[in-house]
Amino acid sequence: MNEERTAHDELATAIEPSSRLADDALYRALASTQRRRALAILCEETELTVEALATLLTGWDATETNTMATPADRETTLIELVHTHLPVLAESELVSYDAEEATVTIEPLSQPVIELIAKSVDAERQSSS
Amino acid sequence: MSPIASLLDDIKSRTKAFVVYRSDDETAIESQFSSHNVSVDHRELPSAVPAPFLVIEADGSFAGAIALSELEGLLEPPIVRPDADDGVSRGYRVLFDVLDETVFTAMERSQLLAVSREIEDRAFRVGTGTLRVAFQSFSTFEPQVELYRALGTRTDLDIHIHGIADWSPPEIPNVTYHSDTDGTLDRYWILAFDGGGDKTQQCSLFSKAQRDGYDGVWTDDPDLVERVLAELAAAQ
Repeated sequence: MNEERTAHDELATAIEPSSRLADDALYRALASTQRRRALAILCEETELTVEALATLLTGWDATETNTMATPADRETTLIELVHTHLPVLAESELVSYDAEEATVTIEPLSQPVIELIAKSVDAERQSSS
Repeated sequence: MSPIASLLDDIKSRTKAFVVYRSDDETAIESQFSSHNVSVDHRELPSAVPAPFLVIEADGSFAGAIALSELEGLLEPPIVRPDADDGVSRGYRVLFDVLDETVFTAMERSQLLAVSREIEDRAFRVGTGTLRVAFQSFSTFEPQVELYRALGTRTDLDIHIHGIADWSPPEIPNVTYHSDTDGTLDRYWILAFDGGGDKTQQCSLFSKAQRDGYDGVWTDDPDLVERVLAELAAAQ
């Protein structure tokens, strides 16, 4: 994006990877339920089409609302992924997003980051149940 | 391909698919739907997702998703159907369509007759409307003449019998015969009743003779029933 950012990134990869825990971009990326869920799914699946990810997120929603998720619900999820969530996640280098192929791949993440993602999703589940 | 033959292909390709996202063993839902007109598949549920769910697809696109726990409650008798005119979401409609459309993949002649009797009985009770039947050939119709004489004389039904003219059927009030001269109906056993103005009474049996029995569908789907009626009317 700019030189400063590139320099920052190089520095980030050069030092201990878990130092990402002090990276503001990580917390911006995690500041949304849908993004935390997308990351948790991708930590397991590694690579998914955007369509498959939208279906999983819609199904996840359905397990909470206890109603039938509609095609419109899934469409909204898909649009938000494409226009908001995936660009944010790609920007913070947690995933790589191939808009042309419509696929999303998790970037290699350090164990503390993976755990943070899992814990944030678990915490939400516990607070809602 | 004749319009009748392509109609059967069409019915088969009105693809509905259920995909169960689960992490454990096969669910009761999967075996419950195995005899229905739907392909049932399963995928591994990522462990982050709190509970298993079902994705319903129709004609290749997403129609709905529902938690398995919710679905099980929905399918427990008595099954309460959402009112179809009540802006019901597509997922529910596809789900109940699937429940309504049972496929007899290896239907025996006796089952075919039993379903036929059901449809004739429904037409008899309604007493008006159009009933079109094709029993492959007129000679196959011969053992059923007395039943159709009762249908023709005791109701206001407009009855049409289609088939290959290999026998001369007797004249019956309200019954019109249509000889299938080019053999299109040679292997088809079809009944379709338009409900006599009541869509909820519409029904059709559409089956094709195979080497060892019949392959077909028994449906209440109004669109499908109307198409079967139209194709039969056109086939004469």
